Amino acid sequence: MVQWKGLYGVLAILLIVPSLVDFLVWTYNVPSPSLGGLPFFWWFQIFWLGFSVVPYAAYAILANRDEDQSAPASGEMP
Amino acid sequence: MTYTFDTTVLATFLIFFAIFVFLGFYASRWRRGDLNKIHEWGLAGRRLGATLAFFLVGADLYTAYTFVAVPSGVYAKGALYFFAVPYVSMTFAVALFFMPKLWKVSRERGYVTASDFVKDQFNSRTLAILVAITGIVAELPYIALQIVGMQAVLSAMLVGVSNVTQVSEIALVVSFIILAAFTFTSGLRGATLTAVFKDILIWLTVIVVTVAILLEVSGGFSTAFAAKPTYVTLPNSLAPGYATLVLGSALALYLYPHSVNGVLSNRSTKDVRKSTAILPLYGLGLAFLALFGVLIFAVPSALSFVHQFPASSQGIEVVPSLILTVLPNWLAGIALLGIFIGGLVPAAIMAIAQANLLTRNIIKEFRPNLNPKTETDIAKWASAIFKFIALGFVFAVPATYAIQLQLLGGVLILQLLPSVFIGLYTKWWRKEGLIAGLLLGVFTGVLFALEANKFGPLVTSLYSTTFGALYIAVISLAINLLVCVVVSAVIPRKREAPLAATSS
Repeated sequence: MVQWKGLYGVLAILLIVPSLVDFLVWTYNVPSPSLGGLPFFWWFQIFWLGFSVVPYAAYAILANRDEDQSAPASGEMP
Repeated sequence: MTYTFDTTVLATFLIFFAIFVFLGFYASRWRRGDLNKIHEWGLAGRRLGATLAFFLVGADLYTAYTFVAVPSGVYAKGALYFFAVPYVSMTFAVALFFMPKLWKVSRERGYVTASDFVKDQFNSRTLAILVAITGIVAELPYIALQIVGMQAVLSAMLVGVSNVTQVSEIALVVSFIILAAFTFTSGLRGATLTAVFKDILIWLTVIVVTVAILLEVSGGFSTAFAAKPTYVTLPNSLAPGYATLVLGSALALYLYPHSVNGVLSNRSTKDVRKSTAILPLYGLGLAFLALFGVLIFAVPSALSFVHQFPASSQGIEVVPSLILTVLPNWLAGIALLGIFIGGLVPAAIMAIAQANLLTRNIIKEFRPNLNPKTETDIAKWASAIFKFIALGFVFAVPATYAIQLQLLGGVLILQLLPSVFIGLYTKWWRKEGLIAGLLLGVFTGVLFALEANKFGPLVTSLYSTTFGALYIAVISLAINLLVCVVVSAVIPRKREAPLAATSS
């Protein structure tokens, strides 16, 4: 049912990487470089929150496409 | 100039509140349904399109937690409470993974709540009822947080009318009455339509206030951090606490009954993924509001406004005071209304989710032949009673630490993870294990929370362990999972026996 074998691996990476970075607290728990007076700790996390849309949107697109391709076979409801 | 009571602020607040009330009542006629039927009152007839469902889920995010509790925590403690930002990012990964699956099994087998799913999956009425009770109880402190938020807005607006204590008491009573009346009359459909209005006002507020502060205070952030140098980074000893607050909160959000409700009202799994993937953008507003907790130190007039309040409730006035000091009065009234209904609408959505659980998963288990009218009456009245209980939680926490209310809810609701999230992927669990794990998880969670706060008012949700101070929800979840695994492994599988018997 999966068109491309590596797909699930890619999907997992897209979901896990943003959270993984969030967990590495000590890597971003530093004051500089600051941005417009905002210490690195603060602006980086805001940036990372906004950036997470990119992997999440990629995940949604790939997962939705996968569902389309496997839908007829498994007879899913629309 | 520090703000004191002003009729322009009150007038614009009231005008926009009237529009809000009109929308709420209009909604009960919109796509007309019989509000005496429970699924009409509580699930909007299950006919919400993708866009409205998006706002319904967005409403879970933009609550008093965002406007009041997080800025308050940042104001009082600095970097620690900025954990809300990575939490929001992480919770959507959790949702993207689990929620389409939950939507799919729910649609295929007609589930409306997580309790429905658990009952069927593990063939246990006891477990289903426990899941429903946990959901209902976990919503209580979260609703209490919304009441605190509404109270914060009204007290700020009424400063100068009377002394601060009296003003706060009046504000609490009025907030509570409005919440009860709104939930009672509008149902989920009303709450959802007004959620759109709420979100528009909130975005307006976030953008306008941020711009106004940055224009008014030159070098706003530098000034603020110069005044609070300890807020620049997180003390290293708090890093494990920070990471576990992120993890625990992220795993917990989509287990709440109102979140499940919101997701299930989507039209398809693809819509669930689409709307979830772009919700982090929504979260950026939360990040800017959190920054207000620091920025206020660069605005002396706002700071002196906040200082009128006792230390235990200064934090919750951070955002209202910035609004009142940097915006023109007419705009301040609109912005304050946005924050007020930002507590009101989610509280109503949560109370409705509770009522659904009570009637569908608890009362109907014992009285299956309830007529629809009685069922809806019970749901409406129960939700009023639940709000009174929630009010009790308001007094258990100093307002500045209102975020502890949400974290306490998280401790409870996270204990459903083995049955609900993991249960979506495996039937290996034994129901006895899940029941024991849930009970022990909740018990240890409450115990640790009381112990960490020395049986006094809740000011922390971190518990000291050998790995540092960790968020209690995560510790209890670990205990819960351990019990689930051990009990499930130990109890012999009796499913194989009857299967073998029938096949031979």
